[in-house]
Amino acid sequence: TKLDRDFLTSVPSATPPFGNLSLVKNSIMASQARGLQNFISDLRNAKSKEEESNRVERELAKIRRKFAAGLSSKSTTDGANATLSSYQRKKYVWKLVYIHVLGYEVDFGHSEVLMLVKSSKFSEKQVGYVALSLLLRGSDPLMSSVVNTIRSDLVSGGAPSKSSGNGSQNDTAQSLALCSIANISGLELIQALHVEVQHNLVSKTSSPNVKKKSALCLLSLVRTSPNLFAGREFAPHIAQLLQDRHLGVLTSTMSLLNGLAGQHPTEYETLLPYVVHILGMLVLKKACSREYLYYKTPSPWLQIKLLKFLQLYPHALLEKDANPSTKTSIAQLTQVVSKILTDTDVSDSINKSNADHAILFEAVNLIVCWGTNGPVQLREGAMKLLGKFISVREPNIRYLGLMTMAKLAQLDGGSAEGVKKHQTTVLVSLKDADISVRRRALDLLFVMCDSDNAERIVDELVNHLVLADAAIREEMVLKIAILAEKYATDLRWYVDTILKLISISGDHVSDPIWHRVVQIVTNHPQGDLQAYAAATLLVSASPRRCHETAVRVAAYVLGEFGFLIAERPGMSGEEQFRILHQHWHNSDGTTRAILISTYAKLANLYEECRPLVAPVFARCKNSVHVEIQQRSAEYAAMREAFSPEAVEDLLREMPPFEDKEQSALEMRLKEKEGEDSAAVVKAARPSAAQRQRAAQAAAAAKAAEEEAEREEIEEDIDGDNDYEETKVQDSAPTGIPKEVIPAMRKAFSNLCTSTSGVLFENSLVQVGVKHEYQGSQGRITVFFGNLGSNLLKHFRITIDECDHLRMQKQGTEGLLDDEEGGGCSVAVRTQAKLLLLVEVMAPFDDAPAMRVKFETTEGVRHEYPLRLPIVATC
Amino acid sequence: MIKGILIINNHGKPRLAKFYQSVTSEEIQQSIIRRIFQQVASRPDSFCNYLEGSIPEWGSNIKLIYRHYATLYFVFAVDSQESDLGILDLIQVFVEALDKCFENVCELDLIFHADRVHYVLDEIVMGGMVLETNISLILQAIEDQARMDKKSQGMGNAQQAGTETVKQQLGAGTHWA
Repeated sequence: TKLDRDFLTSVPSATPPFGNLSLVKNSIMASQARGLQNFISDLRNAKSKEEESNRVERELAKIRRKFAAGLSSKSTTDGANATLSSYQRKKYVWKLVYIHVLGYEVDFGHSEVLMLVKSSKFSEKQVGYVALSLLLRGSDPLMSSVVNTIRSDLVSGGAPSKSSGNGSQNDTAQSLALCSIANISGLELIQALHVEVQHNLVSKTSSPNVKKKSALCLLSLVRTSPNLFAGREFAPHIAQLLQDRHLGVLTSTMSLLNGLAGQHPTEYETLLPYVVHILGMLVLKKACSREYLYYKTPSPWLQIKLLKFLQLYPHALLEKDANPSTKTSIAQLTQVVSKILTDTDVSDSINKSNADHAILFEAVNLIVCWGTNGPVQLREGAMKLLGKFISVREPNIRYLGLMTMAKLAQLDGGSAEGVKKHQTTVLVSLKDADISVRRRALDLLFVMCDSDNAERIVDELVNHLVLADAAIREEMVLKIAILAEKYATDLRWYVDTILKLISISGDHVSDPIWHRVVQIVTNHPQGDLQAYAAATLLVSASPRRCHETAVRVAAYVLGEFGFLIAERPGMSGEEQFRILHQHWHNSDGTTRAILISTYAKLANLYEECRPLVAPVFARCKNSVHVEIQQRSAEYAAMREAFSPEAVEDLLREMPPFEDKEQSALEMRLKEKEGEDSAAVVKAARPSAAQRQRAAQAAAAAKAAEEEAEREEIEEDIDGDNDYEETKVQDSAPTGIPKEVIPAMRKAFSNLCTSTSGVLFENSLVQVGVKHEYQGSQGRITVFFGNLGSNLLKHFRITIDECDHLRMQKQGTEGLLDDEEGGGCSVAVRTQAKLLLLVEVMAPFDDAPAMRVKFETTEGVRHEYPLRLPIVATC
Repeated sequence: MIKGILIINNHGKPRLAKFYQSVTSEEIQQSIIRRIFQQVASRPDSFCNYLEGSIPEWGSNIKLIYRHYATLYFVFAVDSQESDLGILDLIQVFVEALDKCFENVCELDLIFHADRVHYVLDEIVMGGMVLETNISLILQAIEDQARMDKKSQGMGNAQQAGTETVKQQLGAGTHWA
């Protein structure tokens, strides 16, 4: 316990005027309960946590016994023990409070507390109220039983004769009740008591002490229940209070006003002149009673609150009318703020300096809030001062300087340029030992970054990341990622930067960051970004050890764009597979699932990958990881079940990602820093580079659209003379529904080994094939039967000509006439016939494509892409 | 708004804990105190008096503003509406008020007179807002209360007038039973 007595001896520079090792004084001890003292001493002498908790348990048991003793016979209606003396009750309640502060749960004795509150003796009431606000919460059901007592205490201070003297009994009881309502603040209390509190605040007979407590009490009520009363009616009352001469009342009133005006600013705008006037008195005239001078500064708290209120009205300086009083008020306000800026001096006393700078920083906040509405010399003056602050050694001022400068840097009109001059100074603070300072420096660097200095700042940040400790790394990584994306004039630099982040601090590169890389690479097909990203990622995934996040990005990007680099040496599909697959055993489920999709894509593109991939799929079909199991089973079965086109479709590159208003990274930043952080505002504003990229993308999209339109027009011209029903013409013809594709695939396979069979069938049409081959020649007959109940018009066939097959075609008249409106008609239950004589001219691996087109009597066009079962065998 | 005020000694023992935004249980309250102590205690006195972090129970943007006086940390947890330096000044007012009230305050005063510390604090901060910063008014209010306390006690039990000497009071719990 020796240590305890040293409290306040070796105080740092901020030493208060004490530090003497005096023991506890007699005079103060006099009224203290002896049992309580002893109990505390016991606990302090406890050798271990266990001993302490034993002692506490024993004491709790004893108190419980004492409280319960009267339960049977003489308990009050609340269940409190009426036989206890006032002294005992207070003593036990204080013990409970002490035990509570030590962190033990105290779940009884509440009725004894209430009994104290209800007592008419001040000494008991005082203990009761303090214990009430410490031990009970607003939501406690017991609260309702004490509401009436609180109310009668609230209205007790009626006698005007006494209110002049300090500390009449009633006045003090009022204060206690107010204090405890403010500290507890439950919904029920508000509903029950706000009228009384409001009355106390505005009543002429209330003492200053009651007024100021009522103001804060009302504030805490308003906070829990924002629409307690209408601002327009209440503003005049506040105006009245703002003319009070008591600075304590003013301070509390300003707290209340800030709370109210924060919720509904317009309703309190009329109070601006009052606030400016008070501020003028304090700043320009130093009109302040001696007791409210804090180290010779007139009540800094009041000044701060006044300045905070002014920040709610960024347009206050704009002259809306020619009213002379408004003009004076504006002039005075400008004068006040410039005086605060110029007069603040560095002082020997740290406390004096703190107080002055507190006001100064608030004034700068006000200037920031005015923005370009305010005079430019104020902004420049503020910037100059801040420039000084961020280079001082005193950590608090430097910290606040960095913080405030970040706010100022957000303003338009040259502020950002002013900030950039201090870049080197800020970089020094980024290496400070104190994490709070480092955070602010990081934030400021983030805010001052633009396309001119982005590379320098991002590089500095990346370099510093190597040394940065874990506490700040996640934030740094997130901010670097945002900056790199925002200000990249060349997106390859962005990709490189993120890769560096992964290699330095991969654990802090969250999913949204690498997802963003994928999105950006996918959405920017211009230039060689995609190939560059694929190649770079392949290289970074090449070493045996690399961060899992790198494997994930590499896997995804190679799956999509690996084909762009497959011709380069050492980057063939097979090598891509080998490089990715070396990480398989160290990868978790999520990474493996991504890898599997990539393998499927590789296997689709490169024949030589198929035997490598197949065993992986085969093994993973039994994986316990559901995602892996599902993916590998589906990919493995896909080729069997679907037509080649469908497989092609499934494994095609992903379409571009939707560009969201707000990227996931920005949302993450907002989550961490809240709405009004300067960094969040900055991140939400698109940079020049981003706008340029967006414009490029839009131009490309527009060009593509025009192209499509042109094609459509050309098509229209082609078919113009044949069709009247433009509606039908516009809609795309009906194709083959997906669900029949597996059946078709099967039918095709069957026909490859048998001489006749059905190639395709639906409710309208059946396509049958008979074929025989001799050497390199074949004779194929195709029948098209109408299975529906109506005529099929314009029935026609096209077959792609290819070099490796020489073909002679002969069919029902009109069948081969591939003009819109041409073709033959196939009546119900009849067939059209096509005879093909083919000769193979060269080796081939692709079955010839055939299109079947027709139109129903309702005018619905159908078009089926099929393949003829002409395959090479040996 | 001030969400909470803590006085914790160098060993992490809380000497005062006042939660203006209450939390659901003692357990959470103690865990907040522990977390705050761990964060604050690891910082040398040469660092600035601000620590940004999150106390999820109080919201994400809570700043810890603290001063370290020899064996005690005075920690105020505040939201972004408070002036950073203003709170530092307020801590100083609180400490100076305690010092005047106890005539050279030491940690023992806070332990044995937790009641008075609460009374003083209640005159300075109320419902998480600054109430009064004028030290003479604060002391005046405390004195008024003490006088009334005495008066009302005079009407009641006489047995409460403790006459223990300092030594006995510090005498390591020989009479507690």
